[in-house]
Amino acid sequence: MKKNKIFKKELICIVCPLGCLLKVEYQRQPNKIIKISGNKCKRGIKYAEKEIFSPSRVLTTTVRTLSNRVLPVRSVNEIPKHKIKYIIEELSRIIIKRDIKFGDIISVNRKGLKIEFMATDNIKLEKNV
Amino acid sequence: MKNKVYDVIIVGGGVVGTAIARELTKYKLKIALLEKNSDVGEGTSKANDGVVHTGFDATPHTLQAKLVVQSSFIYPKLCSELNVPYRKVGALLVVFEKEQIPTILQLKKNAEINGIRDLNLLSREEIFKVEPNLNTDVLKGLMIPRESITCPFTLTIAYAENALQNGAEIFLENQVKKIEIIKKSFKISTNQHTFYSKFIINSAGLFSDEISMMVGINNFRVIPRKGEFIIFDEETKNIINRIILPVPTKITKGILITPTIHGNVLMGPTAKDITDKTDFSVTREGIKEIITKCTKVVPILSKQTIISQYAGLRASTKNNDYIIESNDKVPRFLNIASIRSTGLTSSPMIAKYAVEKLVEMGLKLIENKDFNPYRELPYYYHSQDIVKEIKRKFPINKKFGHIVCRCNKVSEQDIIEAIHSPLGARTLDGIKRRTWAGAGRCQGSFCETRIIKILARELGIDIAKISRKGKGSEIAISRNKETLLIANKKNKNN
Amino acid sequence: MNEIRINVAIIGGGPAGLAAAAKLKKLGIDKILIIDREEKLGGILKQCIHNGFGLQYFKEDLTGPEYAYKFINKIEELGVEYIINTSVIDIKKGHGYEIYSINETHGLIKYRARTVILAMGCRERSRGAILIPGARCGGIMSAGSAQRLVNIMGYLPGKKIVILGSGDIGMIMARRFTLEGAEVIAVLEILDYLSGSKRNYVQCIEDFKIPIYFNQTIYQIYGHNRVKSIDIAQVDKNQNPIKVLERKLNCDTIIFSVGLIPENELSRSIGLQIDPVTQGPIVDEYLETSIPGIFSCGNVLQVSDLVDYVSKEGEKAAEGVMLFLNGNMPEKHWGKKVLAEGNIKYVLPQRISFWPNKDKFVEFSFRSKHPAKNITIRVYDKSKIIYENNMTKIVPGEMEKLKVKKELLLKSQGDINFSIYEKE
Repeated sequence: MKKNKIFKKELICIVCPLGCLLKVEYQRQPNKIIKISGNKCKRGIKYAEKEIFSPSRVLTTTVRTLSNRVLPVRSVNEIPKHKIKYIIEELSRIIIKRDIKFGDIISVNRKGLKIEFMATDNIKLEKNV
Repeated sequence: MKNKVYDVIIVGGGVVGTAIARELTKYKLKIALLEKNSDVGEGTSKANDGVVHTGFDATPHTLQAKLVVQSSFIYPKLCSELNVPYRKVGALLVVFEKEQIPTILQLKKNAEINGIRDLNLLSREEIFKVEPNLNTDVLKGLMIPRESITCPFTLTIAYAENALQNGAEIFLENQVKKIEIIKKSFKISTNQHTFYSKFIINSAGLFSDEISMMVGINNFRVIPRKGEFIIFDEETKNIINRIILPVPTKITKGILITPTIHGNVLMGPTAKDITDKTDFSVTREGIKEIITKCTKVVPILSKQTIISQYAGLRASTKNNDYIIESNDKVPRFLNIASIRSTGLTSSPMIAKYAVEKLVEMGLKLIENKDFNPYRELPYYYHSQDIVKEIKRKFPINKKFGHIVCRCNKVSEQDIIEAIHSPLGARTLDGIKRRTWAGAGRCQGSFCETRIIKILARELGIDIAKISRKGKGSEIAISRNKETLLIANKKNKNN
Repeated sequence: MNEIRINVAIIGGGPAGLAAAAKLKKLGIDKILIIDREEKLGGILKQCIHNGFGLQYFKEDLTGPEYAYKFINKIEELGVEYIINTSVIDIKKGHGYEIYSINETHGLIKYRARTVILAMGCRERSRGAILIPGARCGGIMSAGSAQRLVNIMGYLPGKKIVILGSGDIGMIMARRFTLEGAEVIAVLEILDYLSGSKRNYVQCIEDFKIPIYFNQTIYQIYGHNRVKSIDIAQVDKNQNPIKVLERKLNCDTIIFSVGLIPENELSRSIGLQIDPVTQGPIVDEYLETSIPGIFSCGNVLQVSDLVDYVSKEGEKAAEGVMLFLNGNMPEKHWGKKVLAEGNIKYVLPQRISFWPNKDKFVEFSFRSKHPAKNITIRVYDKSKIIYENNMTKIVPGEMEKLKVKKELLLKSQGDINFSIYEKE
């Protein structure tokens, strides 16, 4: 059996304010955590798994509108970290041209990836802008 | 503008230049003031201690002594006419060493030669009755009852507004580049326009030597002398009641501690000759010197909260007196230079003296019967009694009830009025100087963005064009993601 | 002058004030009024568009506006009254409390309240307050101001940005600037440890590979109309510069994230006793200040790291107000002192009145002066240790809480002390 390379990584767990320093040994294909130390609870293991193999983040940013304010938005779900750059580029092209309510969804499509953003404020377009 | 020939053009809109502009509008003359910055009073006039000197310590028999002493007597009336805040707080000059006691006796005599006879010596006990927070080592003091305080920004703006009101013209953002002598007038080229004038007054302060050289007079050179200041939080207000002065030296009045007209306490200035006329930076050494010297005089200052520092540059020369003179080589050109740190005080008498000099040079004066010396107190002027102010102002415009700067309780309408006043504010600094918004303990961190929005709206320009103090100091550099959009377009085009 | 009579005036409609209002209404108190100076309720949360709020209180990961929205909805549902765009300019004692406020619609309005909850939040420390030498030009801004510029107005303050301070707001803005297309050249921290939370370190600094340097500060700022460059210096343990590390590092913007100060102008004007360390009012276990009937909560009381704590504090103040309005006064207002010793920077509450209530515990909040590991928090009086709690570590940037049984505190003799015992 082909021996898989073992990778080592240190990362700070951010599930709770303790911020345990995790020392992880893992392999790829199949993705598997071999050894983990430093975690004070089980949530750290899950975090390490996700952070190493499929790191993702909630993206919070602003979208331009026709009013004199920008609209704050948050991604409904976490976005794979390496795709954030492209999603930001897509968002930079958007100018909201209608009234928006808290909770409205704005969809962004990029290279087959569909990301939904939720508006976290109300924007009313003023008549003279 | 092309063919209009002014009677007098004043180069430099500091406290002296604006005072002269106002003075000249008392006569039927075509007056213009040229100022290179985007507001008046952006040079030495904006960065000083606001003290109105009596002239007690001026070198006797100098022009400076004469003009300062005379000005100090007419100052209360001037401030009342222009609605500029003024308070006679008095000053206390204190000594801590026995060897300095003869010096204060000498100063008293000096003052008497200058025509100031109301100084009195105080003993230790008398000093502590009036200034309980002084260092207990103080030995003796000299009380100067008429030493006062005012607001340097307000005076300069008030002079300018009153001058405008009475028919003078003010051209901001006009930097004089070249002066040519053509027959019986001057051709003045700025970065924007060309002006013609029979007489020129050079009150360009730090740059007065350069203006003078444009007409071939180079008998003085300006040496910028930096003076740094530290401002305390409003809470420090009652620590001292008077201006506390050290023993002055030949070069400088020394580092003083003074209440300000806006309710703060100020320490400074230092005195250091530098070479760069545009260097208004605050230095580590300057801060240290001020704190060290002043905490010796009033020890509890070391426990107070500092909110800001700034530096001003005195326009000094090798000359220890004012230079207010004409030159036979260039008729109808008056140089005003070497005013150093007493320009705020002597501005009214410098103005009168300058006009006398112009008359000597041939200017004909006809009284302007429509001259109105009174400048109404603008609504935007920052008062400390907010409840009284609201009761007075709210009935006039509801926006006086919308507070924007919460540290100093400045309202939206105060800001709007400051923008639309005769010499309207266009920058954050301009708003600050007129309304005091942004000058409080949070130094603008709460109200800044709100003021920017009001400025953009009232001036009808984009937020990205609003600046702190003129072009190059814009607050917003670009819209969010704009650079990404541009970079993206570039990538797509490649 | 006309006056409007109310039971509770809540000054500030941010997370502290909103939580207090909702709790009060649930406790059956009426004639509550929230007075807020901005155009919308929510306080500083309106411009905190990042997530990480509500993990404790709602068990959800919310953005600032979402967190505010939940509370605003709650108070609307409960029918709590509020007035916006209104600034309180003075409070005076006199048959309850006279509150003078102004707004654009009515001008001067006077309220007479039986109780007051101060929830005004805090302001930022400025560049001037920390005496950084150099030019005073364009391109210098506080982090909070920049946050509003970017998140509400939609503009960036610069292209090449240096951030002074590794507090949460500095790190958050480092991420914001980067996402909006600016370059954050460095975050400089004067201490040798992170000022803010690890969470933000991972999600803002590490994620975006932003250079962060410890034991460093800005030595000098250069520029004329705008910032042009800075000198960076290394500092010693006492934060004094010892060596200039880099000269004339090019940048066009400096963002100051150098500390928050509770906004206690009103508190001082009415004469409340202020704690010189927290810079907020001294309070007892129900957050009553030195003046009976005036309570305080949120960042104006102590600067908190988590908004969840702030809301809990608001609710505590509400409970205190209810006890006060119902006449359930403590026997001795502020009877007991609580003191911070050694490595404890401050403890809150600083007094205990022993309000008559069924609560079995008093919850204390505290911060350490320096980071420490393997420690014991010791609560003791002059004769014995009252309570101890072990912790693996403590850092100043993260507020800690400790519940101590009320009966133990009741039995104590004299002042109560909090200290940190470090096992070597």
